Amino acid sequence: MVSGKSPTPADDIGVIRLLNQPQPLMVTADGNGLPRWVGSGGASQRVSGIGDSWRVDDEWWRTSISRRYFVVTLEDGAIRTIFQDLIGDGWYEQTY
Amino acid sequence: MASGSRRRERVDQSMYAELHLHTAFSFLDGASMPVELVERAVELGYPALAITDHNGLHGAMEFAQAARAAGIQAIIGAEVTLADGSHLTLLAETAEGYANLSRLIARAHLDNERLDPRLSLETLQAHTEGLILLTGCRNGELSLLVEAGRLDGARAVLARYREWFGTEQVFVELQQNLVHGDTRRMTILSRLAAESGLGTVATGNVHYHARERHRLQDVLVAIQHRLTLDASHQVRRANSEFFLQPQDVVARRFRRYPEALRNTLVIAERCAGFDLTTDLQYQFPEYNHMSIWDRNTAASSTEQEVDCCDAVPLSPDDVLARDCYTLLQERYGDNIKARERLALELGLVKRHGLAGFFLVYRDIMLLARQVADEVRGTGARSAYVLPPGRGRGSSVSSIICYLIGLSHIDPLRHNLYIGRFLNEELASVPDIDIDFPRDIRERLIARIYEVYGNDHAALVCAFPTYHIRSAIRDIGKALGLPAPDLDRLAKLSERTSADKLEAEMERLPEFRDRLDAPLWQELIGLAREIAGFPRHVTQHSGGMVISSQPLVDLVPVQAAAMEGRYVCQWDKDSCDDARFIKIDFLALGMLSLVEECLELIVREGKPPVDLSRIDFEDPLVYEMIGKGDTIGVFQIESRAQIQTLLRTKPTTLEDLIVQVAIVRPGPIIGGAVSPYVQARRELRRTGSANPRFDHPLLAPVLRETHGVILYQEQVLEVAVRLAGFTAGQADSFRRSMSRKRSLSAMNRFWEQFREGAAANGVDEVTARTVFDKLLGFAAYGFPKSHAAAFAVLAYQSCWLKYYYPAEFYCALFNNQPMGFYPPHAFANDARRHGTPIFPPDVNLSGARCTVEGNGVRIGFNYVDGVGEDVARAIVEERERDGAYRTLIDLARRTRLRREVIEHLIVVGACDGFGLRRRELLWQLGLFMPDKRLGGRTKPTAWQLALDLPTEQDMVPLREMTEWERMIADYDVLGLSSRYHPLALLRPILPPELARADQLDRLRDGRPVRFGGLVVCRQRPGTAKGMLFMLLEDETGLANVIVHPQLYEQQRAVIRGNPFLLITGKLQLREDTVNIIASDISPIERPTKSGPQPTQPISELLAQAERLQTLPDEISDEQLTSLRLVAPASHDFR
Repeated sequence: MVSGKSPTPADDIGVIRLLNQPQPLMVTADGNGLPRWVGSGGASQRVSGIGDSWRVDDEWWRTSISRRYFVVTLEDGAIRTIFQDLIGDGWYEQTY
Repeated sequence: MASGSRRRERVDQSMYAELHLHTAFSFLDGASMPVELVERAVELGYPALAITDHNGLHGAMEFAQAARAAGIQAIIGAEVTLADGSHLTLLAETAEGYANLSRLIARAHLDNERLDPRLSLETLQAHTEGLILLTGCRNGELSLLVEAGRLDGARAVLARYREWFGTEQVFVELQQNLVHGDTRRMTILSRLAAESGLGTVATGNVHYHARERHRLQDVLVAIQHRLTLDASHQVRRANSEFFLQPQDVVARRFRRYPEALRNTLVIAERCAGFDLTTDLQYQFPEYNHMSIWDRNTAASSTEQEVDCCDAVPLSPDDVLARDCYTLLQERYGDNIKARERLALELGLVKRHGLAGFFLVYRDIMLLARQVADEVRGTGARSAYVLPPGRGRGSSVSSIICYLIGLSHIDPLRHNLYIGRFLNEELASVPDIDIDFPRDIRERLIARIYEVYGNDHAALVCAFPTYHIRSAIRDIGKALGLPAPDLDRLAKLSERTSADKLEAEMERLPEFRDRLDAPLWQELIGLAREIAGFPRHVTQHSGGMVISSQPLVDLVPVQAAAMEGRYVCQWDKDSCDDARFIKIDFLALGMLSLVEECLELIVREGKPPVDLSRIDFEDPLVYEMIGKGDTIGVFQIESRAQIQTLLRTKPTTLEDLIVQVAIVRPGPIIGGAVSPYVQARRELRRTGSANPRFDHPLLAPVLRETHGVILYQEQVLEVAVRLAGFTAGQADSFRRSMSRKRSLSAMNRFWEQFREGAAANGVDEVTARTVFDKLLGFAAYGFPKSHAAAFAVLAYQSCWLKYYYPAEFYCALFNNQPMGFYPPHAFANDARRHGTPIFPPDVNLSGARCTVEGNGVRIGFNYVDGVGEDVARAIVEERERDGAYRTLIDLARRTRLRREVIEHLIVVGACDGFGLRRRELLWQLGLFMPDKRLGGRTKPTAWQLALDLPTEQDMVPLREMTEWERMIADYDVLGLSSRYHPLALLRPILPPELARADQLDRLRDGRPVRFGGLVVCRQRPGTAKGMLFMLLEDETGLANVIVHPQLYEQQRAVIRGNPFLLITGKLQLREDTVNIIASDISPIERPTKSGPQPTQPISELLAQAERLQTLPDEISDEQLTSLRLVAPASHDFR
């Protein structure tokens, strides 16, 4: 719900909300570009393993998307999907 | 360093060889040319590189040649598509493996629908020897089973391949392109390989040489699927990782699979035993004593000869000599010169071992004779004498070719020099090119398949490449740019390379501001990259390869677009590199025209004409030629030819040979035209051309062309006479000029030339002058032998036009497209020559155009919407059950579509039914409602079967105006049998406009205005940016010259409008008339409601109705777009 008013059916259709927006992360990568430390919420954890990695390049004719994804296992056992924005150079967590 | 040791060094230092790689010959998928990939591989230190294009070896030879030159090992393979659509990678380990690969690809193509090659497992199982199998990419059967979790199925696949190929020959392919899922799949595949006792191998599935090219790859995939980039997400690759990676990157990605990395080098080493550039064992078919010729002549041979053949087979040299001397006696009697020439040629043939080659050619010509007899049948077409085909090119200079029927030109009579065709130092087998009428060529190709076997003969293929217009259209569409903008840019662009797009847009004011616009920038960049990329496979104009061993062992064969035709997967250059002998059977439209013309003469009840015996010195024919009255004839009909004819005024066949050769870039750039024209004028004035020679030694060579170099043979002869070159040296010099000229090679030849000339007492300045003239000529000229062959046909076509105009124009109409002009120009030319053109008539027309009295009746073949079969059906029905009596009768008996009947009505083909055309259209609407107008859709068969009277529903309607009729004529027929648009427009055009037939009576230098229909536009490379246009009004043609500055200013007007108004100055020179343009504007005033060219005819008519009262009641502003009358055949692009 966007406001305190009761939504009309038209409002419901008209509002587009982006879901699963990537969340910025603090990541320290090694010389090969692989993530070694992942920080969020002020804490930082070592990456204990990289389960998979892939890359996406698309939309170059509009606004380029270029990302390197990693499925990392953190030292507390949590598995996270993160990516590096190869154009803006920031790191993000991909939520599902 | 030798390439072998260079390669060894690379292998020792390498970690990886790429074994899965697509080039641009994976059409609309691979995004780099072979040479780009090879060069990048060398930079990255790769020891070996495989080519594995989709279902083809189209780029394999080019790839192998590039790799050889770069000192890197080329491995030949392919990614084949199996029957279920999955992919499989195959590499040739040995020569036998290569032959199997080639056969498999051929079967994949030949056993399936064209353009959808699929390899059956049974075929694969039958051809495994010498092949290494890699299990394929993400779309491989194995990968797909793994993705589907069907591991038992995956194991079964591996067991199957292991059984068929052997454990050592099968490798599980691991690919890591950083695509989601690659890591997991590699893990499973590796485990499966270990379980099955098979090795693994790492591959890169390379589709381009460098990362940046991924954009082009995306675009190619979008084009391939006819989608935009936005809509092609599902079919495009996920990322930009499909490029040739540095070896250390690959090593890192596969660090958990060291065996897979190592095996790339093991496989490369195993494949090193086969080199495509050297190991193909092609052989031209050997001359067989029981050849076609011998079988054919055995019956008429004497007993003694047959016995002789049975006893001791003669060598090919003996057979050729025997047959040539027999024929020499028949043609030349005891002519010593002829005997000497034959002895010289036979000596050269023997020296180079070419006798078998000539005899096989002779056999093929004999086949052609049989085919021609069949095609011509026993009717009118058999009443005249014509050879089945005619030689062209340098082979026409050979007396052997003349005697055995490969040429129809007597080389002695025309003083043709043999050294260009045969000399003592031949670098390769000489070319013999033969022209045929279209229908004879069609049948001959089929017959050659029958005689030599489908698997021993195929046409050479060709790869149409991306140029600027196709790049704009295809890439622009993929980018989602507006189609009308793309169409306009494509039309306004010069025909040039796609990499010139930025420069073209800079020159076009309406596109200049888009240079920096985002998507347009992408278009420019991508067009630059795609320039020269092959787009698809088509067949070469005439080349055919015949092989003594099955051709499919050497190169895959696939079906051509034309039914019953097969092309090999190599183009002319790859066939040359493979040292295949290419036989050129070319279809020459003019030969078809001449045949039809001769047939029509017979059909008209006139005596048959033997074109070999006509008077080749007929002054009346030369008078016509000298007036430039040559539209529609062979070779000397172009705008440039006509302009030259007016100045040279040929009077003999020798003059005509010059004429054919002179309008070529070589003589034009070499500065030969003006001196030759001046010499001709001098000759006409004084009786002597008084030519000037750079050196007296050149007089014997250049006297016939008044001191200038016009023919390729003269380049050779000058080098021989002046600089003492051998014929072989001279030919090598000529050929080196015809290719990309290397400065060092030219310097070497100059040194030889200078020294040779000095030895002949020629000073260096003179030698240099002559040498520079030879360079200027280069090879962009004809050999005299070729010009002679073409001049004979040019004269014959002129002779037919002069003496049998109705038959000539009729054949001309029936053999379009051909030559320089659109059909409407022929119709206007015919009218100006007093040959009436009659409109189609349902009760008088034939399926094709026919001669009617002294005129030509347009056939149903010209009516838009009427195909060949329908045209024949209309005529056959009429011949069976008599003339069509009414419109309903016509519709009922022919069952033609409504649109077709509408077309017939509006061009007057139904005028004989006694109603006006509008009334006929109305009547048509009564019994065959127009669905476009929401009419009833009852089955027409039911309605027509009743044959209901319509009189009670008829309304009086006025007749179509001339303007309406003309529009309908152009729209439906592409020409008008009665009207010229300019004649009808004349009343509203500015009164001061000159007409074409007045121009030569005006004063030189006078300001002039002229309006006309653009017949052609030319901007030859030799003219320094000048544009030449030919405009037509109702009285004739006018030449317009546009200087480069004006052209650039008004390019959009010039290229975009069919009717132009020219303001300029008249230039009269030696009978030539030109308008030098100073301003150009369109004759066009579009209105808001102006109709578009794509509107249906009924709407066109409605629009035209408003124009009927031109010029009085319609204001200029209401004048509709004149594009309507631009004939469909007219290329305004």
